[in-house]
Amino acid sequence: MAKQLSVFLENRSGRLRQLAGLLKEAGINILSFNLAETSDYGMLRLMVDEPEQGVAALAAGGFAADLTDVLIVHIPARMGSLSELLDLLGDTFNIKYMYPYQTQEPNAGMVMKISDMAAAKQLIKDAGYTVE
Amino acid sequence: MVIWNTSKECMSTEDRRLLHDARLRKLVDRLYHHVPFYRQLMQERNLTPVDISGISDIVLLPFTVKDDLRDNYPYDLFAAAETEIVRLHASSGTTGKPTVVGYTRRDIEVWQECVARCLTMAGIGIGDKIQVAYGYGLFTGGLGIHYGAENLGATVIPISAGNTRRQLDFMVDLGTTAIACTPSYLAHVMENIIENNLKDRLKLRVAICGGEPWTVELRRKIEDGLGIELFDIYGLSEIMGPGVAQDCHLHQGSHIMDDHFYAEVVDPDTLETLPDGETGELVLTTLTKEGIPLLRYRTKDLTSITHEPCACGRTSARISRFKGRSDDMLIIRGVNVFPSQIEAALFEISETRPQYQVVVDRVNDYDTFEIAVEIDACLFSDEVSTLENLSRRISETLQNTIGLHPTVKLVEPNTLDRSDGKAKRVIDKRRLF
Repeated sequence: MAKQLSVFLENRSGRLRQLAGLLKEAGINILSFNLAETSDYGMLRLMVDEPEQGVAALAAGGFAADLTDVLIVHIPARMGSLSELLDLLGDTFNIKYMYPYQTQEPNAGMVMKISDMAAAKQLIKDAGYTVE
Repeated sequence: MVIWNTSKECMSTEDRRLLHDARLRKLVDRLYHHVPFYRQLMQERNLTPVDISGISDIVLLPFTVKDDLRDNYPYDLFAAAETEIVRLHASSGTTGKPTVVGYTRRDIEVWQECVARCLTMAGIGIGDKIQVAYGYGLFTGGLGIHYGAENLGATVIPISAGNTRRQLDFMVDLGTTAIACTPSYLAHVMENIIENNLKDRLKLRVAICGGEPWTVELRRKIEDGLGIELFDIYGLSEIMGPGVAQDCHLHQGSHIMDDHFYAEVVDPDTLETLPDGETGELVLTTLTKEGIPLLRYRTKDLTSITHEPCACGRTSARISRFKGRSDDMLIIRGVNVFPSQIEAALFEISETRPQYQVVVDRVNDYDTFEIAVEIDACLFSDEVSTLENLSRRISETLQNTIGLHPTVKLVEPNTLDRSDGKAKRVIDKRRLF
C-alpha cells in the first residue's frame, strides 16, 4: 500500500500557493497530484517522496491533512491498457478515485483508491501487474 | 371603531384591580394545591395562599423560566387532570427537548376570545376573509389565529405557511381581505405580488403579523408597497399562543389582554419590578389558565409598559415595541433557535464537537441561516462524497432539531474567529430592533 497525502483546502485565494511553498520549505518533492474541487472547497491528493514528513509539515503549517492508503498500479503505456485493467476489476470493485502517477517507460502509473483495497491488490498482482 | 369586549377591554382602573386581586388569589390557590413544583417554591419562601391577598403581593411570588417547563416535561406543571386537557401544543426547548403546554376547554375559549379582540382591533369582522398563513400543527400560530377568527365569525382560509404560488392564487380568487403571517414572509409575498402585477386584483386590507421581531422600516415598506395596514400581534406558547397582546389602529404600543395576563417589567439582573416607561424584561402571569398556568414567567423579551388609557378607548396596559432579548435566543424565519440546540445537533454528528459558527443575515427581507463547521481530524476524509454526506447530515440534523434548513459550509480548522480560544458561535448581522 502506498501513502497519499490528502489535504482539505478551502476555496480561498492563495491557499494552494501557500501549500506548495510549505512543501518546498520542508524539502518535499511532489511526484503526482490530483485536485477534486467543489464550490466551497477542494480535496488535494498528493503523492510525495516523503509522505510522513509531508503530512507533519502540512499539519504544523495549519493545513487539514492526513495520510490515505492507495494503490499504485503500473500498467503498460499503450493504448487500451486502462480498459483492460478496468475489465479485470469488473463490477466487483468500486473505484473511489484514480489519477495518473509517473510514467516510467514501458509502464504508466495509476494511483487508485478502491473499495476493497487488500482484495483488489491481490487480484491485480495475480494478473501479473506490478502494484505497490 | 369596534371593540370586541368593552366590559373587559375598557375597565376602570379600580375594576381591573379588583379583578386582578381576585384572580391572583384564585390562581395561587390552584397552583399551591395542584402543582407540587409551585407549592415547593412557595413553601421555600414561607408562603401559603393565604399570604397573597391581592395583586400587589405578586412581588412575593417566585418567577418561572423556560427551563422549568423543560425540567417538568411533559405534564408535571399541569394544574388540570389529563382528561380535562383537550389540546396539547409543543415548542422547541433550549436543548432538544420540546416544551409541552396543555389547554382545557376553557383555556381554548379564552384563547379564542383574546384573538377575537386582537382581530377586532385590526378592524377585522364578519364578512372578512382571513388567510391564516402561520404554520398549522404543534406550533400555536396557525390554530391560534384560526379558532379566534372563527369565533369572531370571519371566513377562515386555513392555508398554513409556504406555497407562495397558492397563497397568491387564493388571495386573488377567493377575495382575501386579511392575512396572518410572519412579517418576513409577508415581505416575500409582497415581492411576488408586485412582480406578478397582482396588487390591483387584491382585496387585501390588513395583515396580522407576529412570530418574530420586525423593524418600523419593514412595516412602512410593506404598508406602502401593498397599501394595507399592518398590526403587530404578540404571543408565546408558554403563556397561550398569539393573542397575548396586539396594537390597535393608533399603533401606540400593544394592548395586553390583561384581564387574563398580568404583565410586569423587571430588571433582568436584579428582578426588581421597574416603573412604567423603563425598559426591562416582560414577565407574564396567566391569571385564568387552567391547563398549565404560570406564575411570573420570564419571557426574555425586553420592553417597557404603560398603564395610561389609550385614545382608542381601551384601558388595558400597553407594551412598547420589543427592544431585544435578555438571552441568546435567535428568531430565524419565525422559528425560535437557541445556540445550545445547534451544539446538541452537532454533538449528534461528532462527539468531538467540531468548532462551528452560525451566521444569520437578512437578504431581501428574508432570513439567511448559514453554518460553517471546521473539519477536524475526526471529520476529515479524503473522499469528496464523504464530505458531501457530512454536509448533508449536518443540514438534516439541524433541520430535524430546530426545524430550519441551514446552508452548510465546511471550512479548514482554526479559521473561525476565536476569542478566548473558543470560536464565536453566532453572528447575527441583522438589525432587528
